[in-house]
Amino acid sequence: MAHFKSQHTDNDEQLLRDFFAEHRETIADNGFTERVLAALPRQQEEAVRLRRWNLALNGIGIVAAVVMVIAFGTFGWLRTAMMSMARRVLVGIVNFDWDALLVQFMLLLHRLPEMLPSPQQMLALVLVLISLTVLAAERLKSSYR
Amino acid sequence: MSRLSDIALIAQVVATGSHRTFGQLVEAHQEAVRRFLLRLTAGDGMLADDLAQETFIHAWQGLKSFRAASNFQTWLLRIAYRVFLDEKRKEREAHPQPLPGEGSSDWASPSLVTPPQGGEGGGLLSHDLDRALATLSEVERTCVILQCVEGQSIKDIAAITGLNENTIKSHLLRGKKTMATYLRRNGYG
Repeated sequence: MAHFKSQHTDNDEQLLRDFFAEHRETIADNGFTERVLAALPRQQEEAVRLRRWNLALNGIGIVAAVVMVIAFGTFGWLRTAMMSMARRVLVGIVNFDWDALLVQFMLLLHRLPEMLPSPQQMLALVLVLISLTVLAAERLKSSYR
Repeated sequence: MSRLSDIALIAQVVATGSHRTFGQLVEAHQEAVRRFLLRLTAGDGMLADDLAQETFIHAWQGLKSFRAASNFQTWLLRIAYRVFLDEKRKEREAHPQPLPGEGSSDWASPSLVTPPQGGEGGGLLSHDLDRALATLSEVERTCVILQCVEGQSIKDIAAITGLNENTIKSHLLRGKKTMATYLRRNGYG
């Protein structure tokens, strides 16, 4: 009985195999792919293009900032300003008393115009700050995605 | 197309969003998706193509979620099956069946088992095929199409339909038996 059942199933399998082989059909593309591509939403491609532009502009900004920092001696100014500031703070701490602190503060105010960077140096500094902020914002945005 | 080249193309599409590269994937897999949907819709070429187009649009939108561990074609067929079920649900909502239980759970409603008119799947051979498939319940038909027409394994059929492998085996057994009986009665074998 089991043998008969198994043979019957085998016959069914063979019949179906032949039937499906005989009815096997190929479907040519006939412009289907083109129609799919035309119907695809554009957002993804635009988002990628926008991201590329963003990266390119960031790159240009950073390169420009580095060139300006080197060309206008912004780094030297920054070093001098920081060292001068540190010196004053140290002097203030070593000889701490309110009068000395006041004197140091007045001196700082008095010398402030000399310590300010030139407009070009300022521009380079702003550019560096903008580039770093944009990069940090991009990084933050992508980590939230 | 090999699985590796599929994965390479998918990575490229995800990275660049290139329509042209996605087109290569569509071209490579359109036949399997369209044929599957053509059989599910009982030979309605226009409907099958619309559903196939929707399938590829869903695939495009969800390509980032594709995991390389699975087969891309299986993934596409799973989307196609969901798109088909959605369409069927909409069809049912638009034209509710007056008598529940009287073939109402079957996609092979009269409009879909009528002979197809021209276009893809419009040949006499495919008409025979669709009539034979129409003798099966929807789930049996899906399993039989996936195994006998698309050559999918039981494991892949489970991934596509979301059914248990043992359930699929019993649907296949019943479906094939019903179909073989129908074919013998109609002069095959």
